[in-house]
Amino acid sequence: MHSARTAAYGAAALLSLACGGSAAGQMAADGRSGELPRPAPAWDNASWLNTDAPIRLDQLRGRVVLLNFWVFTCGNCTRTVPSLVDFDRRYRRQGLTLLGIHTPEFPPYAGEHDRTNVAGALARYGIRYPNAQDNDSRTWNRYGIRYWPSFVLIDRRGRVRYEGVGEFHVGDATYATWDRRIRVLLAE
Amino acid sequence: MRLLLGVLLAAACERHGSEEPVRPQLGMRAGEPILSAVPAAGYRINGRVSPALELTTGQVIRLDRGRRSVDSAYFDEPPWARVPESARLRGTLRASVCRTDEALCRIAAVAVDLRR
Repeated sequence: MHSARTAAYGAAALLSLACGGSAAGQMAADGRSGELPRPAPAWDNASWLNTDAPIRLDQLRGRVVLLNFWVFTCGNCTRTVPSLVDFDRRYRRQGLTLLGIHTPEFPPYAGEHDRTNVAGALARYGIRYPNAQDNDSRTWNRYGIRYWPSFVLIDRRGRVRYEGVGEFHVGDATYATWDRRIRVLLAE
Repeated sequence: MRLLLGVLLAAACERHGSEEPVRPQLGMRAGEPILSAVPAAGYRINGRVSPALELTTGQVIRLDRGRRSVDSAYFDEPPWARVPESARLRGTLRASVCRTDEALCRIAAVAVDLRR
């Protein structure tokens, strides 16, 4: 029995070594890029839509902030928009600020960098919360994002508390999880 | 024991694999040469942003032909584009891909060096 267990541990260690890259990929797929909570990185995007002036992180102290990294050509992203619009409608007055960080997948020839195209997508999907154009992926990189869509939930003290990836819909289990997380942070 | 470890290693690594999520493929369509982007098993190609072959010459060939899903979110067949008859195609194939067991998009960039 003992030798079988030792062999199993040995196999697991070998697997871990042999598939190290895959293990890292799995962590990223879980939406985790580091220990939580941790200070949220500042952003300095210059081009914004649905707001009169650029929004900075330090202006949002005291509010809960949900960042949505997305691009309008991503179906998983656009199918999640109704959930985000719903969060914005339900929780903005209670202290939630929802921000879209529009990060292109492709170089400029694909049109994802075009402000007019982004504005069209915001209108098409009924998005009224502010959106930053992250055309150089600087904010994306600062947050260690790898997938579209990704989500980062920041508490009133400016700390990243929750991260996640992937499409969800109003009423499904993932929606319920984010809803609960938002309410937890709003209550603090 | 060695055999067991070997089998375990092979099984575990194969699941993640080193295969690219998309590969370029030359072919013919209606008597003309084409380049297709063929997704690996378990992947779909985003239909709202067509794959692109970025040639080292600076030219970009968009692979925007091919049947899409009803909501246009994915290509239902490998997207393709006509390519010059005698060209050497060298550069990077870029595609937005979605694994069928995930609900997200990721970018794939594959080096290409093809001759007809």
